Amino acid sequence: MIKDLMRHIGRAVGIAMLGVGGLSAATIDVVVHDRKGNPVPDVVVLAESSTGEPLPFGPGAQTVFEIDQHHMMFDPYISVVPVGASVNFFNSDPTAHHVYSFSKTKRFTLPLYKGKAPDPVVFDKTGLVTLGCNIHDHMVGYVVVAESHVHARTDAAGKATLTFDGDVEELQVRIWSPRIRDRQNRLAQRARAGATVQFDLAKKLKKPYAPHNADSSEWEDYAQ
Amino acid sequence: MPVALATAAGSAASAATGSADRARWHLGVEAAAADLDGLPSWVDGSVGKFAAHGTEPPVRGYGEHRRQLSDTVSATLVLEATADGIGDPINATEAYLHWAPVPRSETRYRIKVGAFYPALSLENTRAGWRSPYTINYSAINSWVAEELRSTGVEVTAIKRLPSLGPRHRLILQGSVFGGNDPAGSLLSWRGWAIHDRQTRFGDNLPLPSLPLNRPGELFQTQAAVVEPFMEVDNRLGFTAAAEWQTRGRFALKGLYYDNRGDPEALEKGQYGWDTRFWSVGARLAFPKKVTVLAQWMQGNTGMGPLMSGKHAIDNNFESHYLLLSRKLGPHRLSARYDRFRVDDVDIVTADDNNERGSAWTLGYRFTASERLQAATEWTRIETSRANLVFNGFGPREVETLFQIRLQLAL
Repeated sequence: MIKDLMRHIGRAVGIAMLGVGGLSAATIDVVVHDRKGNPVPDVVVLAESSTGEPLPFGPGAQTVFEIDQHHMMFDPYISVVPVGASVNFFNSDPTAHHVYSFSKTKRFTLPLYKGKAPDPVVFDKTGLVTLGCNIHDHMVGYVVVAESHVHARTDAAGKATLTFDGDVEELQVRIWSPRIRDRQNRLAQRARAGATVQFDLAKKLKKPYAPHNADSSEWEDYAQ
Repeated sequence: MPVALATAAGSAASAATGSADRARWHLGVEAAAADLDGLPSWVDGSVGKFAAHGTEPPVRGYGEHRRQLSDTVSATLVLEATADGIGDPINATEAYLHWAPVPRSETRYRIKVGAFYPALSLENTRAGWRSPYTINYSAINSWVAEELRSTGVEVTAIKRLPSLGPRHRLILQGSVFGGNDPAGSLLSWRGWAIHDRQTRFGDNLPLPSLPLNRPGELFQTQAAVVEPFMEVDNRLGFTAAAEWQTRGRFALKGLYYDNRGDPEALEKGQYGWDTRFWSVGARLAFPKKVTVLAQWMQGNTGMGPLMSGKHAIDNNFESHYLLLSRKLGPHRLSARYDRFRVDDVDIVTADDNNERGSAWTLGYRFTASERLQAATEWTRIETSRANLVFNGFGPREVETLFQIRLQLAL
């Protein structure tokens, strides 16, 4: 109940902030259920243009983001950034990491380093970027490069709210999670401002990401 | 490849404090005390299956050095310091370059070039090819430590299987190598063994004195020692392996080894042995930090001219073990049961290599800190081997070893 309250307050603040900027705000509620009808948390919800014209809301105030690595994990595990954003990678672990991605959206490698990488990585195309570490095979992270700064994440009840410029009447709502197996064409829906969009997934979800347990040191990567 | 002790110690001091990621030494010192109730060790040229003989220096050392040459290429050197009368005090067990190209797909490749262990052990996962579970290796891995080393190239392809989940991997691995032709000599003439002595490059391992190895006999041209890492016949061998891994839970690996030795080749008292085997191993992790290892090896080794369809020495060999280990805080308890056999299938009955045996190992290890471990272990080997009589023992012998060991990581 407190989470619902927080969500309402968050929505009210979002609307209020748009109001302060002299714009009216609109919302679209999103619900994601798995094939058994259970809510799915931590699903990324993106606002995409449904007209072919670019969205009027751009990168927003924040255009520089951080992804840290500690305890052999990317933190945050999933980052959503607007297209054109730059990401500074940090390393808080005692060992070096060699970050890379072979995703078509952004192919890059950050060579071995400790502490801060010298240059931020700019994500200039929309799409999904899967992060890995060339030294630690089990490390995985994601960067979702979105069309704009308008996006949300479903809560424990599987619900999220997109809050955006009231002048926009219709959006394409797209969801994404590394656990979802459903095909792309089932994960996007058009919706008008004020509507509620429900996604009922058809395929069984993959298991949630289990962070590397440093205690399992007896389980060695003996085949590197 | 002898390396001065002083140089090693000096490098250790500087690398430990300096750029710890570009060059790293992992050094260890072991102090041991052993109580042996068994035969004189094979290390002294006799037939005992332990490497302990009660008079070796109580201190041993090892060092594993890895240096990053570029973002994706590293060099590794593993040294073992043992003053037990075989070889130089310090010499290398492995030396190789490792290339890890940045992946361009869900499959990542790893290439190893140099001299290294064929990748079939599940036990030996720590630096210096040590086992986290017990002091003495299984019979299988004791033989690997003695007679197997590949000098060549090993390519590994690790394929992630995202449709199944993030933990699953399919691994394919192959290698092409030379420098392992006499492998099979000790296994044939001395049989299986249980210890943790790793052969270094330059070590010449003694063979027990047997009737047919003496002057004037069939194998008189065999030197009194085995140089297991020698290239005798200019023929390359290979390994091919496949593994399934579910990280943190389960691994199953099958490997085929064939050194393609020419059994009629002879160079400087070292024969080529045509040695091939299958090895299948499984590792399972259970709740409460229980680990189960099981491994099975079966193969054949042959040497000498063909006589009635078999080589002068033709032995089938087989061994398997089951290991259970449980970690409770700083304590680790391990128990392993080994079985081993050699079936002599050649017609040279005067050289009887038949052997049957089994062993129990019970070990306890205490991790006092990140650097200090204390271990105690009891091993009992039962062997039936006809040709023990030529050394004044057997044909059935029971050997027991009790050890205490302190290990300090520097």
